[in-house]
Amino acid sequence: MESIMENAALLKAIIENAIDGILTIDESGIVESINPAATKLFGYRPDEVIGKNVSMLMPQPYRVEHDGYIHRYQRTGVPHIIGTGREVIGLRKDGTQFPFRLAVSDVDFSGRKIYAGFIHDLSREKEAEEKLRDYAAHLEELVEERTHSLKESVEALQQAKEEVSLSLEKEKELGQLKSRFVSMASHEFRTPLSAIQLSASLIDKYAENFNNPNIAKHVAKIKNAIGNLTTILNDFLSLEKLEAGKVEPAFTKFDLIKLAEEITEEMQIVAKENQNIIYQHTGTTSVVNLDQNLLKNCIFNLISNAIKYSGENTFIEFNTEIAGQQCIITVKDNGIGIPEADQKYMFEAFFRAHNTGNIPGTGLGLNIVARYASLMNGKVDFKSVVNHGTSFTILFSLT
Amino acid sequence: MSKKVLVIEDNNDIRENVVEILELAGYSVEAASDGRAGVDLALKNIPDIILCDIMMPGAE
Repeated sequence: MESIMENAALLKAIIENAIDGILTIDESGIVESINPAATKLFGYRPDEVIGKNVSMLMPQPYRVEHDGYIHRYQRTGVPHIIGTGREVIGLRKDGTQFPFRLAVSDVDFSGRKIYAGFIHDLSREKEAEEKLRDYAAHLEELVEERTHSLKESVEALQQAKEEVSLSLEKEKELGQLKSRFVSMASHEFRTPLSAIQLSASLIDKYAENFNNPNIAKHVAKIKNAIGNLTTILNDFLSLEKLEAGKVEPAFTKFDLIKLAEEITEEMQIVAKENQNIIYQHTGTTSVVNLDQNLLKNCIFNLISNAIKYSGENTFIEFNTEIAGQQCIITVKDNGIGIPEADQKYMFEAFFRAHNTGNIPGTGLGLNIVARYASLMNGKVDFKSVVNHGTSFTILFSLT
Repeated sequence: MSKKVLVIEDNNDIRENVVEILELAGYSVEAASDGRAGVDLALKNIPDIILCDIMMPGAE
């Protein structure tokens, strides 16, 4: 008897001190007991709840439906919450709501049925869950934001790419425009130049009878100026053709000595007073497989440079050599030379050495020579000492 | 009997100058300013030599 009493006291103590709320109702839903944890959760005093319908602790719509739940269970015996438990919403005295987990068990006690409800507050968990959800949502927002900014970067990059290709396109168009202009201008300039040159020749002819050295002198000046202009225009046209990729070497076998002798003869005519071009070939063979026109142009260019940049009464050595699998063409003068600081720029278009003074030129000749040689798989090189002279070589491999 | 030269050149200054130089040199010269006229002249009076500009109207 004493132990039963003790057990009852223990149970009461347990219930009174339980962290979870516990309450019991009778078959019609009237609250019979409620523990302190439950009263604290709902904010009522026990006497405000005991004897009232438990639905007072529920918000709508559960409040009006609760009696129905009890009746359904009693009629069908099919539990919806009893024995399993679920999350529900509670209504506090102050009208606020809170989530809790409700476990209900039915108890047969003293010949009647009562229901015991165990209330486990979920506010904290819900809050944490809410926070987690918020965090997840925020994370999604962040991801979306980053994705958006990434997308913007990609778009900006795409636009930049388009702009670049647009300016490339424009540059190309400008290049073509320049090409057309240079080639048109050069052709159109050459026609009147030819007319002037022919007229100068006629004046020369008609003036013979006057025996006036001044007429002869000025006609010579006109012819010389025309010659310079024609050379410039030819350089422009050559460069333009090279730039446009229109120069294609046509390799044929020909006699190098024959070509070199022809060139020597032609260049000797335009050489200065007492400038002697000495040609010499070394080697047992003289046949090469190159583009004759391009090679002639290269040698012409080198020899006219030698003539231009060296004085009267000098020798210009012009050598060809075929040794083993190599063909070496050399043009050597005793002219003004190329300053050391200028030497590395000599093959750049429009570059002229600083000691050229008033000697006319475009700075295109060597650029063209180098490019023609390269089209024939050859290489141009030079050695030069200021005021002593320059020696240019073109090296071809015959393999 | 001097040699006959036919000059075909579309630029007037150049054509006239070339004709003049050749005449001074003693040739008998005829001239045309385009390819078609040049062909007509060449067929009418066959020249010993034809000096012809390239890339002219009617020169195909």
